[in-house]
Amino acid sequence: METYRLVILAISLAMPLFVVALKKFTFAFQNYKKRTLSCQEKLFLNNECYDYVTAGHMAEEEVMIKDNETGMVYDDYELEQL
Amino acid sequence: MTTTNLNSSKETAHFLATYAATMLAAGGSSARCEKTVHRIAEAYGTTAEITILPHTVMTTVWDKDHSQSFSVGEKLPATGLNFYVISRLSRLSWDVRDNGITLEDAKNEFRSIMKKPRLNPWLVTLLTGLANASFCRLFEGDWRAMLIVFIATVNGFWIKNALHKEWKWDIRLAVLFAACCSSVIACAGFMFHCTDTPDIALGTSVLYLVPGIPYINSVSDLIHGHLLCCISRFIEASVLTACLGIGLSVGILLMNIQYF
Repeated sequence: METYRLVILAISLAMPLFVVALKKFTFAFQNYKKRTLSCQEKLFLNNECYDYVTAGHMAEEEVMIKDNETGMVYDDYELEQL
Repeated sequence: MTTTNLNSSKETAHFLATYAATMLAAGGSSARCEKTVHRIAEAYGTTAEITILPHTVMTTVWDKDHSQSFSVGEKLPATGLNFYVISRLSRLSWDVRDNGITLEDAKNEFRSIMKKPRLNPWLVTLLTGLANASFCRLFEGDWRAMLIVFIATVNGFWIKNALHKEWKWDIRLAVLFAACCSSVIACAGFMFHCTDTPDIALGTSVLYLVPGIPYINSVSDLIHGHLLCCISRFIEASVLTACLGIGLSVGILLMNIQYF
């Protein structure tokens, strides 16, 4: 009996497990990618991820940036100083 | 015509379009869909005409004096075959006619039918395996051939569902791949000489992939004069059968079975 036939049979039998494993891997990879991308969409500064937050000033809106770790919020000028 | 009547006809048209699209998507035949839609429309004092296309259904509802009409086009949802939905929707049409339930109640009933969860997929897989093994027995396969067919069917059915529903593969590719896997497993009878009827095991291992309902519906459409639907369903079913055949052939070639 040829070995290759046994191998093909074993692969076919294990195909459901392979599909599940691949699905889990893809899901984990997509989650990782989504997390990284969402961080890039916000702001990377000194290897840290920051949120964009807006603060209302009368009718205008000023874009400010929040440090997730310290909770500090910086405006444009303060950001340049960092 | 009063505004209330206009709104009523409009709501009826919307409901009937969704109703017809759901019934067709669940595997109902065109004739049955047409009959039930007419039954509901008459019960609400309107007249309905439906045009059934391969992936869309167009419903036109006329008011009592045939002076105003509403046409609603509805795409067939990708719900898959579901006999429970067909029978309940048919029952709903009788309820509307015989018990005079209102349009609002009919909509609520429709929603409750659609909310009903489907059978457990593991149970369906197991039952499909048993059904296919029984086919093997019907063709005079022995017990070991039945066991091989059961394993091949459960494996292939699971793969087909995973590829089509979770991986969003095209159904034709999923069928081809599942047929290939099932036939490779069914070739175990030839490899290990563990059964006296390996040919029957191989032949019946892919029967679960035969699109029986589209074939039956296409014949029903042919009889009732829905030729466009008949041709479309027949071609779709034929393509799936061709994919099944290709998958089976690839499996036999991979395992180098010198049977034919």
